[in-house]
Amino acid sequence: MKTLALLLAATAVLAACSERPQSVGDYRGKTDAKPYEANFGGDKAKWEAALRARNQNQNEYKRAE
Amino acid sequence: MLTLKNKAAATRRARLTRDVPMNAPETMDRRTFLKRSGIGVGVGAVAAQIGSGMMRPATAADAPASGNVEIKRTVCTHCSVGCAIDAEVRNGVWIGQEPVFDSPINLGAHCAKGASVREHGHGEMRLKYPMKLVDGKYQKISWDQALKEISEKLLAIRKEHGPDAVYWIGSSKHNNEQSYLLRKFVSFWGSNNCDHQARICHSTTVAGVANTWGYGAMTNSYNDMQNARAVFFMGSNAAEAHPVAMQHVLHAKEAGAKIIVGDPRFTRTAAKADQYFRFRSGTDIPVIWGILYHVFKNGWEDKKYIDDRVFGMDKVRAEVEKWTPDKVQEVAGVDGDTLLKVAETMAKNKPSTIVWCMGQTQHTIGNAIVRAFCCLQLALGNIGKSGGGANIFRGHDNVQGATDVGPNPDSLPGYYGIAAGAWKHWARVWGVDYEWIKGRYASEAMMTKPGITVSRWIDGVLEKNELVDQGPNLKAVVYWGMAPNSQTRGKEMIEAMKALDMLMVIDPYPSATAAMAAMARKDGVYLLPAATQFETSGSCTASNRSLQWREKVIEPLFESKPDHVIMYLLAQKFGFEQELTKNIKVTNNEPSMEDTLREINKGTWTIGYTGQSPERLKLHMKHMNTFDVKTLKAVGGPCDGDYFGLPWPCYGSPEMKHPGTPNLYDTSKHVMDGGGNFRANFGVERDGVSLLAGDGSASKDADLQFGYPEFDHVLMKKLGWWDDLSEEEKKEAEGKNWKTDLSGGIQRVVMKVHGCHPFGNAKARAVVWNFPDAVPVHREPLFSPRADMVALYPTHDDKKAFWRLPTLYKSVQEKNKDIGKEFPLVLTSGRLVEYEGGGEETRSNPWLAELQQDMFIEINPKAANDRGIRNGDDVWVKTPTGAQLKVKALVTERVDAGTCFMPYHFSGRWMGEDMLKYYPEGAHPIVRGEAANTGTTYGYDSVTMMQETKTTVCQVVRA
Amino acid sequence: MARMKFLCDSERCIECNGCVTACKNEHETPWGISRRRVVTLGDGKPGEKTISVACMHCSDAPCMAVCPTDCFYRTDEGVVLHDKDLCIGCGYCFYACPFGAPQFPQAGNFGQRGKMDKCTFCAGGPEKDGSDEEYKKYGRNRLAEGKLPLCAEMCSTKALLAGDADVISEIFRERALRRGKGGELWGWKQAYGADGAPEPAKQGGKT
Repeated sequence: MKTLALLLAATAVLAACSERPQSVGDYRGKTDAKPYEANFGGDKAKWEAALRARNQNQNEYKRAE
Repeated sequence: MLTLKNKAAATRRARLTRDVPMNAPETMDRRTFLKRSGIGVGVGAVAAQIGSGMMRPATAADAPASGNVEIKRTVCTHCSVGCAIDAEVRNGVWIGQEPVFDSPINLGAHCAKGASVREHGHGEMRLKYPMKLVDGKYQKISWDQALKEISEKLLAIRKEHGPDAVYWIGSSKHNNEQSYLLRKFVSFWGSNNCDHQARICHSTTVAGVANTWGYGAMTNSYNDMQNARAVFFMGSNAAEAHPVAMQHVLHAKEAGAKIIVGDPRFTRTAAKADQYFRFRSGTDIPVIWGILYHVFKNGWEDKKYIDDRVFGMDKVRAEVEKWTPDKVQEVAGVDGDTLLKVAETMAKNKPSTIVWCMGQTQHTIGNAIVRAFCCLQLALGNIGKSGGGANIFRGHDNVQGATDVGPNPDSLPGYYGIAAGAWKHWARVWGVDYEWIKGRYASEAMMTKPGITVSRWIDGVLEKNELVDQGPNLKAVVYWGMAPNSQTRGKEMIEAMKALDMLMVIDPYPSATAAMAAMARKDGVYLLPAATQFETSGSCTASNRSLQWREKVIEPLFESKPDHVIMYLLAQKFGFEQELTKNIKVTNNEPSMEDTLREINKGTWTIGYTGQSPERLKLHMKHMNTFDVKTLKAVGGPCDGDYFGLPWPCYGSPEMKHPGTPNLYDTSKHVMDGGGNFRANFGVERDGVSLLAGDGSASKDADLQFGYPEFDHVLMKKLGWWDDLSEEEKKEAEGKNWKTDLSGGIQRVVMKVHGCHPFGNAKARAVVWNFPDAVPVHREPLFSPRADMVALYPTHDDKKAFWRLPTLYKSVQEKNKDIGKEFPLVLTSGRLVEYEGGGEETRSNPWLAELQQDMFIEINPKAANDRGIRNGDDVWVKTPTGAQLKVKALVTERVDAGTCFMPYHFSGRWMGEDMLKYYPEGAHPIVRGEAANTGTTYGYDSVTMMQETKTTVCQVVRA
Repeated sequence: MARMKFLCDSERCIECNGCVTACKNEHETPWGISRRRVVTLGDGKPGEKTISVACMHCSDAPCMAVCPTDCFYRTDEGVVLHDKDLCIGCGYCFYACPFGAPQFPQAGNFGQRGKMDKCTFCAGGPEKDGSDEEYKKYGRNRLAEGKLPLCAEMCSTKALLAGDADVISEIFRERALRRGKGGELWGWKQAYGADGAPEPAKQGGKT
């Protein structure tokens, strides 16, 4: 019962991003910059908004019902 | 099965087939097949020959990272859909290609060809400088030397044999301005011997459709297909030939439209259809009449529409009644229930539209096949309706424009024809003396006689002189942006090349013409490097009649020059450059493309190329986002009310602000909003029956709500409309009609003041009495494996002088009536999505070439097993001409057991031999293969001289 | 938080190879290397289906799990990338990948396997974003420019979708609802797990 409750809690926490815990070796390469640093001045929200807007170009229903 | 059963199984599969990502299907698909057949020899060999320069990730990375990025807006040069492209250019280097989501035509989308065009900006497999064939090898020469030698030789031929001894093959990839200038150029040279790709792609459509209802073009648009409730493809494989059109089609399908495909081959378009039926190649008319049989039988025809707007449907009905389901089954191999379902779907899901391409046009009876298809739409009342129409997909990016204003052997720009009146009209527009032009020709008779067609130039060389309907045989041929391997009878073309005095090739790409010529001859061949359309500017006309303006992306590469510069330089040598560019500004030998378009605007009243000024077109390119995708109409913004690209007819002067015509013959709209009706072009009465439209079937709010003839100064006066003209307009319009009044006054008054159509309002003709078969009837192809059908449905009688040449029908068919014994398989041809036309350009592009590395023939498993052929085997394809082609066998159920299919984009191999050594060094296509047309046979349409490529015969044997 | 995913709508894919070519164009990958491929099932027969396949940027990526040098990393947006400087070209990731995404260009004159190359979701690699170095090793970094993978942006029929999983699954869901079928999605479960939220509802269509 307790295990089930824990599982449910874990599911609730991770459901939003459909992510599952994983255990692999730690990355040993160079650190990558965040994608919103080079051209968006570190403003993550602005970058995400830009991508979200751009994504609608793949939806022709936005221009033709 | 679309999901993997488990990861382990997938991994195992992946391990087994390194080159195939995963999940290899049981029947191998084309790509897997080609990839595999390319392993070992193919890939390695190809990699070696393209050299290290091609292998490194160069170009964009090589461009210095500093400098501003400029965006140049252009249009894909690979098909008639007209997909817009934003090119990113830094320091003159084309570094990136971005989708133009704003374009209402493609909404950013591209197929493989469109997604690859940036390669034009750095590709090395180009003709880089002028060359000359010396002792069988191409040698570099200077432009000066090339122009001097070429012009001297051509002038010598002209002097000795007359102007008709030279044949000019123009290009459907020239922009409108270049196409137009070339027709003018050839006229000033003194001949009608010019032609281009349209002859062998849609000439039967243009003639058939124009003679049925007025204009020879796609009636609606790719976009308008979103409004259709049923779409019927017959002889079109849009998924490969016009992939971006499928975006609109599949969108319509999601909205509930039914998709029907009829084709001898189960195409990729068929894979997306709700209904597919196979029929025997070449029996399109029995199939269409078989469908119409059910329409009439069930009373599904639109009776009022037929009464008001169609002439002669009763005669069609009489022919259709002969095509009972049993008979259609016997001739075409399609059962009655299948066609009943097609008929019902088309009749009960209106508006319904039809699409056709080369599958219908490239036959000896192409003109009749397309008219039969038109009759189906007329019976259903679908023409002149949004969502309906005849959506005829053109091929090349500007084949529509080149047909409209380019180098046609039977017409001056704008379908004016070549009678004296047409010459006088254009002489006035050009500002040159009619008598001077006449003096350039061999005679007045030759000036008004249609020239030889591109499909037959080889006979213009080889035919006995006494049988040629012009003075000389052809002595020189100029291939100016066209592939030789798209014409049939390749084997005889080599003989024709041998017999010429001189051959000139003007092209950006290594050309099959050059290689064939070097195989056939030791000298007398010149190559001039032309720039691509990305290295110049100008307008091009998409299949839907919309014009788009291309900005120049980069400067011409290597030593290439834009086609119109080459035209001007040659005109200088011939001594008529002043006349050629009388109204056109010339800078550094380059005629202004804007001025050229203005001259087109000034003269092309017939089809409404008058309203599309360069300024209006550029405005449209800038504000693409304001146009609605389904209607193509701008809502607000600077182009408010215009249709995108001002689809012709865009009548009147640019100042009249006609918005263009999105759907032809649409009476639900006012003429000043793109409305219209069928054209009065065939008189007012026939056999005692009026040809004018019935009462109440005029365009919206027209002053004349009944049928009326076309407008001229006399009718204007009779109607009391003459005084609506300004004094200035009256002076010009006196004695003229709506096509020749250069003031545009007649068009302005008729349309703007009275809401009428300048070309009149008549009925469409289901019976085209001026064609050999007024009502379309089935005739077997000249080469048919069905002797029984040849006996029942024989072809036409031979013609003595047709487009200046004897043209054979019955004698060829008779001689070959038992050809099926030796060549039992029907051979048909078509497109691959990765390549275009003759394919030298696209096969020179490594991004595309990698995807299709081998020429192949599709053969059914039964036919293959009967011949001991396995998938991937090398086979010989033998044809009645004695040609044999060595290709790979692709065993597939796409084709039935009696039919084989070959793509027509390959060249560079000749009956088993690699032609690499015949190409200029460093300018050969990466992928080479047998040209399908090396083996194709004789056969031409009885109206337009279209070649038969879609139904001939072959035998296949293991190599 | 955006979770970047690909999704290919097999009802729309027409096997035109626009995606494959767009990728070659954007990243200038050499002859023989295709980060994306189009696969056909039942070629030439009724029911023929095609889908475009590349790295699916798995939530639980097998390549990452098996890599002996641990050169893979997963960005905050769920894009699976790798550091070519660490890659030893062993090919283990290729065996692990259910989609056959990893590729190995030929290096040198003796056909040795070069460093692994695969789809980056147009997000470059661990070099400085937008630098020449990054371009040469991994191709263009469109995500950092606020753009999405070019293959999807150029898809001829908008069959291939790329972007935030929530957004693209919504686009797909709308289409599936209109057609009343075709809710099943090739490879979605394989890459993103059976319980992943964005999987569109089944519409009772073909399976």
